[in-house]
Amino acid sequence: MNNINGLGLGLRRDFLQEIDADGFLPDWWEIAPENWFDIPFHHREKFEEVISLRPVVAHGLSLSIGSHEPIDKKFLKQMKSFLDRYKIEDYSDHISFTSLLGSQTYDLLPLSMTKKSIEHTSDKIKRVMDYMQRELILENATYYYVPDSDMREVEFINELMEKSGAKLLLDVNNIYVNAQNHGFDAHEFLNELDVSKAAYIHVAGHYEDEELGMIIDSHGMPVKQEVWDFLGDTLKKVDIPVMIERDNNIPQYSVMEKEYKILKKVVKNARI
Amino acid sequence: MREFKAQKKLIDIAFENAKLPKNHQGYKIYKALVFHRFFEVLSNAYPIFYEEVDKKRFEKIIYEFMRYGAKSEVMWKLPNEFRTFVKKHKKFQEIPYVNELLWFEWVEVALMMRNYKSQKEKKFSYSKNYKLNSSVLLKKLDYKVFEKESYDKKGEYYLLAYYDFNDLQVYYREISLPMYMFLKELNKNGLNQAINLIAKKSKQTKKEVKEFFKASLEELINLRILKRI
Repeated sequence: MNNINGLGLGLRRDFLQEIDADGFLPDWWEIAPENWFDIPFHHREKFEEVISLRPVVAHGLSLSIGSHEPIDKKFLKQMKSFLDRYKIEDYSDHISFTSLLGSQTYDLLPLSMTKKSIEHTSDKIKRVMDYMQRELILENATYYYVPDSDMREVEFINELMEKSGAKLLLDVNNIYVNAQNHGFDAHEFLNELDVSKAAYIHVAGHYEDEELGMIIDSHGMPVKQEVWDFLGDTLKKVDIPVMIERDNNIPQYSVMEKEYKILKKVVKNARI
Repeated sequence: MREFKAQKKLIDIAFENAKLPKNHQGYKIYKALVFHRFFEVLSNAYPIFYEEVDKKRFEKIIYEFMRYGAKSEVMWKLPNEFRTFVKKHKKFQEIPYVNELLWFEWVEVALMMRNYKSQKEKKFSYSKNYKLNSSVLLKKLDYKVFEKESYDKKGEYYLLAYYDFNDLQVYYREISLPMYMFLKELNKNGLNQAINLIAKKSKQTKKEVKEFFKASLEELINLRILKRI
C-alpha cells in the first residue's frame, strides 16, 4: 500500500451529504471506482471535497480478472484515467470473474481452482499491472460451490499471488463465510495463507439463509461478533490497514461511525 | 478447456440458457444473485413501467436481456441498454406506449448523470445566437406517458425535459407545437432560422414571432435550457 495507514471505511454516495470536514472522518476511504466514473452533477463537488480529506483506495468490481477472455482494454483505459485524475495509487478488485464473452453479470463468480487457472489469471494480472502502472491488490472472494477444481482455496490463492506478483486484499468475512459453507477451519486457513502478501483487510457483514442452509456474503448487515473475533485473531498475525465494507442496505453515516468505533476497539485489543 | 467450460456453465445457468441442476445450492444461489442485480437496477430505474407490467413477463424478459448480453461495466447504464433491447426486439408489444414510457423514465437518470460545466446565467437578446444546453432533451410523443394515469392516452405531445441547476433535479414540461418546432430549429440552424420558420408557418411577421416568444425565451435562459453560442 502506498499511502494508507490505520482504519478505513467504504465511501458510499448516500454518505456524501452527511460528511463534514470537521466531523467524523476515517483514516482513509475506499471507493468503488465504477460507481464514480460518472458522477451526478449535484454530487461531483462534494465527492471531490470528501476524497481530498483523506487518502483513497479504489476497490473495483468489474475487472473480471479470472474470466477466460481477453482483458477489456477500453475498461482498463477508463479505470486508469479515473485513478490518474484523482491521483489514487492503490487499486484492488477480486479473485473472481464477472463477465464472459462480453456479457456482464454484475456479480462476483467463482473461478476453477486449477494450475491452468492460475497461469491464465497471472498472465492477465501482469498485463493489468503493466498497463495501470500500479500494483494490483486482489480480494479472496466467497464461493457457494467449488467449480471444477483440483486445488484447495488457500493453495490457489498463495500460488496465484506468488506467480502474479499481485497483493492480497484479505477479506476476513469471506474466509469466515467460506469456512462455514464448505466446512473447513478458518484459523487453519489463515495459518496456511501467505499473509506477507496481504496489503489490507476487509471486514463486512453476512446473513444466514436458513432455507439454503448457507451463509451469504451480503455486505448489507453489521459485522457479526464471530467475524470481529476472527479479525482480532487475524490482526495478531498481520499488522496492516483494516476497513469496514458496506455495499447494500446502506445505513446513515452516523451508524457507520459507531461500527468504525467497534473496529477501532477490536484493532486496539488485538495489537496490545 | 475445462476452466472456460466451468465459467460458461455457470453463466448459462444464471442466464437460464441451461437448466438449473437439481439439488445444487451453489448454482441456485448464483442464479438468484445475478438475477437480483438486474432486477433491482431495472425495477428501480423504471418504477412506473414496473408497476404497469406483468411481473412474470418482466422476469422472463430480464432473462432474455441477460442472454442478449449487457455490455456496460457501469451499472447505471444498464437501464438504457435494457430500453434499447426492448425497442430493438419489440418486447412488451402488449403495452403500446412501452418505448415512450421507458424513454421518459430513462431521461431522468440520463440528465442527472451528464457532465455539466458550471455556467453563468446571461440575459436573453435577439442579437445573440443560442442552442439547447446538454441538460435538455426534446421529444415528440404519441402517448401521454408523462402524466400519471394517462399513459395510454394517445395524441400528439411535445415534451421538454431538463435538469434544473437550482433544484438539482430533472423536470418535464409539456410545450406547444410552435415552441417545439422553434426549439428544434434553433438547435439545428440557429435563432434567426427558428424565427423565420415560425413566421412562415404561422403567417406572422418576424417582429410578431419575436414578441410572441420573448418571455418564454427569457425564462429558458434563466433555467439554462438555452445557452449562448
